[in-house]
Amino acid sequence: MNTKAEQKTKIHIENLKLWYGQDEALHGITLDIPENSVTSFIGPSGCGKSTLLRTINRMNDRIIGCRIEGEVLLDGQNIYDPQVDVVHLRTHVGMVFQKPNPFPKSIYENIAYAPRIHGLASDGGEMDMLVEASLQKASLWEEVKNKLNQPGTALSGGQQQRLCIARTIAVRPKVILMDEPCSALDPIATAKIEALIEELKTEYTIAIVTHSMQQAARVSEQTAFFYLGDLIEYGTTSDIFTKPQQQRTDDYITGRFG
Amino acid sequence: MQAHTLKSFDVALNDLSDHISLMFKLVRKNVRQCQKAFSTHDNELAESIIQRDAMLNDLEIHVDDAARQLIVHHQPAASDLRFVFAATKIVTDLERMGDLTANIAASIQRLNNSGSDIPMVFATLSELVIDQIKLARRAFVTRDPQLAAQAIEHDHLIDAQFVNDQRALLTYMAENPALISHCMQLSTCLKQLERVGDHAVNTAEMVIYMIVGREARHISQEALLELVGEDDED
Repeated sequence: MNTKAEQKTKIHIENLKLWYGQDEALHGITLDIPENSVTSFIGPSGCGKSTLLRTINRMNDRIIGCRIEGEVLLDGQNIYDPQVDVVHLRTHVGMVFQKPNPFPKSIYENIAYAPRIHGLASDGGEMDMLVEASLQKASLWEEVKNKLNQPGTALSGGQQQRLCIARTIAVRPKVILMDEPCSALDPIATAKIEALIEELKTEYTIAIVTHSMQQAARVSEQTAFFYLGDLIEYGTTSDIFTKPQQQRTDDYITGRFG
Repeated sequence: MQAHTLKSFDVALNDLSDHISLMFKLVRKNVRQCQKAFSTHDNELAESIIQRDAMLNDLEIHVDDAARQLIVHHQPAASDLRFVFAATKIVTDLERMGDLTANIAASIQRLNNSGSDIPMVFATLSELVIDQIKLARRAFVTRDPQLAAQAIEHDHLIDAQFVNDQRALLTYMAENPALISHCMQLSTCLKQLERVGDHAVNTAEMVIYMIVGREARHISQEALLELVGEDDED
């Protein structure tokens, strides 16, 4: 399903099927995610939305018994091709999780760690600039610039989540995946993350899983509704929230489900 | 339609629906009583129509307030959002229909008091308007886009009858110059009645938007029929 023909497709998912052992969790999903925009995945628990999100940077690879068919094309290249280096892939496709998970290191080291490993910047002035730029982009710089040596875990939940976003940005990804990034945050911290998402989409392609339909309505241009491993409906957020075509979508969005 | 998981959401939506349905009925009753007050020269009946206007005003405010509360408490989306949006538009038209019928009732009192023998050109047009309001209300209550389209189409009959009645009045005025001012007053009543029909059309258009999620205003008859024919599951 394609929503915006005029916009460049960043990620093309083609007939993706996924099994956990004998259980088929995704039943042939086909979906185009346009570049430099926010696409939200919504649906009740167990619908496959997080599973699908995780296929985009191969987070499911490590799950024993997990098997995948179909294709996920990032800029036209299938990320499941045998020659694809998963570590390299994950620098292009970053992930932000539900619970902020900063490394038990300083704020500075949280950002510098991955760029150093990947050789993206050398220690010293170059790294200082990268750390500052990443924290700036994550709207955290002003709050932490005087305490870069303090542990990342000492920050508030919302700050920790922005630190994780800064850490993701530091390796210059193309795509940022977010799995319920605000579910552990208060409304103010949530608003800050949402404002950040709005800014980041000018540079990155963002896919977000959220249980908050209001959040999907606020931050995303496209919304995909999943149910029991099927993509039920995919369209512009404005259409999905005012005139969905499928009764099941309407029932879910209006709170008539189940 | 399936119930909401949260019962208070359904209670709030039903409250909105019930009050709008009541307003449709009251406006229809006003037109019916205008017709009777005119044909039987009943000024008391005309007065009761004028008095009822306050009730319609109160209902409009109640619906607006209930819609605001519903938005605050339940953040309606999709079909619920369209319903609440349509409700606030429909209620404005219904209130205006109430005003128009009150104006007609006041004119009828003046005509009754004049004791003049003027032609009884009111009954046919008012019957047509009553039918139209019935169609629009049933479309709203039963969520039936075809009925709403019928209400819109019905306006052609009203317009044609209005033109006929105006011609009849003109002829009468030409023959009875002494009654011109009274006939002009009756002509204004007919115009206001025709306007009641136009507002009923507006409500029916919003009912279609509410049900099918597409705009029914300012479109051709052909597009209208296509709109209500092709999408009846949403």
